[in-house]
Amino acid sequence: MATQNVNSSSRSSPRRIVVGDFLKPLNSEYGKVAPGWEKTPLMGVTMALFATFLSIILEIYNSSVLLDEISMN
Amino acid sequence: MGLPWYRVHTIVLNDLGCLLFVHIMHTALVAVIFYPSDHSYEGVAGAHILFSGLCFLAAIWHWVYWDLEIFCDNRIGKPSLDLPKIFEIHLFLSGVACFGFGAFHVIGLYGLGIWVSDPYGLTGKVQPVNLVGIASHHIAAGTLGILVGLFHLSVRPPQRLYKGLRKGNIEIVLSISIVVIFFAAFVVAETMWCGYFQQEIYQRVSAVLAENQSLLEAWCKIPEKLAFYDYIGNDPAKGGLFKMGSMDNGDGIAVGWLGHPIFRDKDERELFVHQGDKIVRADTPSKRAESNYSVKPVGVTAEFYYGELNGVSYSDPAIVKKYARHRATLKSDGVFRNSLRDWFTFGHASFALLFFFGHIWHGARTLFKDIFAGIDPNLDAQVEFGAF
Repeated sequence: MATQNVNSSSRSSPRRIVVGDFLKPLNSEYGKVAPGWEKTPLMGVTMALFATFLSIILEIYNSSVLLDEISMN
Repeated sequence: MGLPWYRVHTIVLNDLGCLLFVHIMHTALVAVIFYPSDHSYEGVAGAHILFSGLCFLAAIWHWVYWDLEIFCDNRIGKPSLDLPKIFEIHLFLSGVACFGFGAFHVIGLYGLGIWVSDPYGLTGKVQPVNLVGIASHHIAAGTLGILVGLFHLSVRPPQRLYKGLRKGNIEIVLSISIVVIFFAAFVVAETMWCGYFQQEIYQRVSAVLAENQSLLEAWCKIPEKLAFYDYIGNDPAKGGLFKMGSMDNGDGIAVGWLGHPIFRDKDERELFVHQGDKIVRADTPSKRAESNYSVKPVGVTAEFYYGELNGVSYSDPAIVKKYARHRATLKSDGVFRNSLRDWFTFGHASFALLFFFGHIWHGARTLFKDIFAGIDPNLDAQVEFGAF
């Protein structure tokens, strides 16, 4: 095999940069979760409401839903 | 032994500097392609090329300095990325950008507007646009992005969703990103195929008629580009996609516009080319047998508004039938051939389907990784195999 192991003690630690110090808190919570389902039901209800809203405005625009105040012509 | 060819890009996964590099480089290449070709926009063109160059340099820097402390997780001594957090931040920033684009740039409140071209796509200019759709969509979508981004920034993902959707695995991010692409592609392909321009035209005509102006004035106000897209000869659903032949004199390139024809029967009722469930009042019989609805007995006339035949009226059945086919209004020989609309639809629909497949592929790889790669040896601690 062409590979070889090189024991090097001169490998330095990861490089620190100014921007990295500012952003480090944003990449420090890997794997952190909230227990169980948490706010999933809330998110589900919000998604359902948004989907209903989109369906309503689509069907108004498509004239599948007719409102007295809105004429599609 | 090297990697098989279909896995060579996986080398970016363990090297976050490299991962960042390829994404920035992609941005650089996309930015350099965007080049408004009109000579009077050197500033915008130059800015994009400059941006592209800076992205190129940034990409190289990140490839060289791959081992950054920000990527390193002190707990395990290996690099890691907090993917849900990255998603939250990007969603929030995209929402801000989208909102700003709609509220300021498009409307012209603080910005130039958007590009609006002439009917044949030959020239055009940047101008503020008050089209209800574009600005309001970006404002609404941007607001949604900001609100949802703030929600995701304030809570961590629940454990159930984190495990269920493999939120620690970067391939699920790829899978979801692909969704965005094919969704956009399907939307534009569908709009171009089915069209909604006819509705827009009739809305505008009706609006003008409501102000008690004449039909001629109504049709005068229709921009030529809108009328061009209404032209049914450009509808891929009507003409087939792959007819061969010269586009000049065919339907591919319009030579002129004879005007909008309005067909009336002898009772002065306005007739429309058959589209869907309307009452049939006239047709062209396909057999030699008599038909009560044939153009001649019904007395269909065609009168033109605007265009070269403005004010001209025809009652000869042969001529009326010719113009009813719609193909003739753009001075063509009446044969359907490919058009820009065909190719746009075909191209975007094809890529949308490919990307849909890609979404399923990468999603399945992520969700069913344990099945594809064999059972995780660490799983043995939780499940006793061989019990049954």
